[in-house]
Amino acid sequence: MTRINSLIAFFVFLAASLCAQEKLANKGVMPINAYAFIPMNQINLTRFLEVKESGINLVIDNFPDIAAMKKGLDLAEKAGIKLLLSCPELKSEPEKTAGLFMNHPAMGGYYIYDEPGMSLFPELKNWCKRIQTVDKQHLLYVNIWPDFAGPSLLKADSYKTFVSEFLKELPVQVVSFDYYPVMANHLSKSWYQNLELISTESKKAGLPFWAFALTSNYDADHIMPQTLAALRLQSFSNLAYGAQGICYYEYWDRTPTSAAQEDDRGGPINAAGKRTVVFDRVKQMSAEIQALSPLFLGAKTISVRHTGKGMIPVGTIRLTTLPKPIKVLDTNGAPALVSVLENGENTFLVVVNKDFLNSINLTVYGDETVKKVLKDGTLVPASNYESTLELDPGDISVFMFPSERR
Amino acid sequence: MKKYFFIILLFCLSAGLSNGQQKLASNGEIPILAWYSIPSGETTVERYLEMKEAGITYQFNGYSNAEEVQKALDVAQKTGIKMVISCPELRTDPEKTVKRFMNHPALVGYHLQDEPSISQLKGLGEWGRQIKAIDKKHFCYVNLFPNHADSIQLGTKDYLVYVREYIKQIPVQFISFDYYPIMKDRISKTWYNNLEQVSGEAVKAGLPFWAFALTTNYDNDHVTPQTLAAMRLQVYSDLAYGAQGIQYFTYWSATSMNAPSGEDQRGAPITATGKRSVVYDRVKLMSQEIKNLSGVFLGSKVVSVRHTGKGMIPGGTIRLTTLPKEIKVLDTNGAPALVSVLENGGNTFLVIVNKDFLSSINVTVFGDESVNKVLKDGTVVPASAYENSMELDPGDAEIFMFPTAKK
Repeated sequence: MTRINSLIAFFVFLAASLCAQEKLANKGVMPINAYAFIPMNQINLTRFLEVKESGINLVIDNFPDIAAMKKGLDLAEKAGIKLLLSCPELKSEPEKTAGLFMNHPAMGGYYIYDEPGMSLFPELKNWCKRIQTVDKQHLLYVNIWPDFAGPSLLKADSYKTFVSEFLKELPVQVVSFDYYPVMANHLSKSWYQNLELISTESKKAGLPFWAFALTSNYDADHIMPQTLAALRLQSFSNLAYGAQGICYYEYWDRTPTSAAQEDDRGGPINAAGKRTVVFDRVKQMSAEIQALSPLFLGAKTISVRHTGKGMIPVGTIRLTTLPKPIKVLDTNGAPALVSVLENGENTFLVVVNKDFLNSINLTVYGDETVKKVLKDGTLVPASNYESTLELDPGDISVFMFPSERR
Repeated sequence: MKKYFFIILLFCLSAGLSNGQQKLASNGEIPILAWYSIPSGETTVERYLEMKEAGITYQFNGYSNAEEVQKALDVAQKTGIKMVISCPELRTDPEKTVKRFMNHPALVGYHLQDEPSISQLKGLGEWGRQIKAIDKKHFCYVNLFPNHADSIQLGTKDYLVYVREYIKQIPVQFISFDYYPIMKDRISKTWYNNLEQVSGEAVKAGLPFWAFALTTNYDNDHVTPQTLAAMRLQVYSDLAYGAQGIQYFTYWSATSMNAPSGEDQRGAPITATGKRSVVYDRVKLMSQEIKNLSGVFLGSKVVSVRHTGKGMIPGGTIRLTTLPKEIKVLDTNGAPALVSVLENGGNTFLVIVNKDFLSSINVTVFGDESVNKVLKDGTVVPASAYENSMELDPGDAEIFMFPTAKK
């Protein structure tokens, strides 16, 4: 029997060593947050499992009262997702409501406000402080305007002042801003500038930032329905700038019953509760984000640069130098985002195809230390691949090498 | 920054619960055979693992001698890949060669010849019977010309005579034919007719058939490099017609150094210098989709294959005029699609393939409450969970499932 056991052990070892592909080490789960807008009569385990299947792990929904909130949290726990607390009692009795739910396993934080003007900051600050007298641990979520919002919305004379006041006044743990830049045939001009500003200001404040990918039609000027390429371009650009969470807007379509409400169509779930083609695309997008999350979670952004034969976006910096292990990076004039991130002992070179309609040819030559990170997180020597590869619209190519000792 | 590590930690601790989703049952996997796989000089465990990672389960390569075959079989065994073997000794001394390899765990079959003319079939039949007399377990493999081959190549003016003679003369266990139909901006006109011809003759003979997807550049008229859409269109059309095996031509870019025919094929998953190309990643994805959907196609019985679209349907094919009773509406708004009905186990499958490999189409399907949708990862969900009109990506397939009506 000893011989048989040895033989079995040998084959188990052989099989394991043959199958063992090097993967990025798992560091946790990237938060994927969604403005879900699931109607209250659809809050059930099946629907929450459907949310989970799409890869969303943190849900924003407005619950009408404490009882509904409790039911939602209990179901979320069963489904393995988290909720941001949002019910009228959180506003009217913040301490009591926070105390009631702060230890719930499905508690993901507190939903405070979407797109406040600067004049609201004192009120929101007071609200946040009251919650924090009870619960200092959970996230306080306030999402802020993009940089093209005018003074009448910002209630500030400039966007920079608005962001700086937000960071000074509100005790948030994450900076979140929304921008839906993918139009039918072009990108909004100030998007990358907004990413520059938010990533820089959040770094100064010692806070991570979260950013958005549009998962609904929005309006007739935007691309519709959302394509995988558009989702990739938004998600991977955000992550390349250092985002530590991705937010989807939105999950469930809304039909207005009063003029004040928005009419959002083309989300992953339509107003009749049916999955749309965007559901499958969001599911794939979420899986890609999680597969690459080990390189992005907790990463330190060294540089973010732009390249391409035309003008680079205003407020961004052109690529002029490369890390030592990378000898050549050439997009043949096509527009790309090139980010260098450090995570653990490794440095990552991230290249995003900024064209969401066409693929580009990307040429990268590196030294023998350079590995290619595949879309499923597998690591292979970069030399296993051709040096010039087609990069799909909006898609990402990632290279890894040991960080230089300083 | 400490605060945000806490937030990340919260997510790290949030272990997901199982969804308990229904998955498609399968009795196995559709075989995926790679032509011009790994050259003998590259026979290493690492290279075979790389090929396995691309989802390839069977490999075929022409070897110079039996020793190279032995080495490749031994490496293939370590990695779980099966081989269709080919070497000069299989021709010069079939008895000895078959006896040498017939008990090797990595052996799956014997390659006799590619694209023979009708005059060669008799000799191939005799050779095949010699092999079969010793080894009944493993298959003999002969791949046929497509129907656009001329009468000099075929040795006859009638393609069906060619196919029938092949079935009559050679003891094959399945029919194989090659056709590379995806040109830059159109599909070759006779491809679907060829699928009709081969699947029709295969059913009559009680044999399965295998078909191809091009994974190299081939020539300037074909799409270059191969896109996922082009591969999907070929693979899903083959499978919708009932193919029981998919073959990739080629795996390794062929040059006069490694291709037995002296062909110069570029743009394969692995370049001539041994590097992965962008097609490697696309083939890997394609193979995963085939594997996930094996429960639909493996061992299925083809009930009908029909074509739809506002223009002319391909020559030799039949227009869609009826639907299974569970499907109430099927509308492509005039876009060209292939609609196949297959039975497998206790279920019937409606397979819709977007025949446009450059543009997506909108497909509207209304079914009764018994209809499920089979997702690309093999998950089964009620069709009613989805909208009735869905965008279908270029070359892609949409699959519905319902219990087979009792006859």
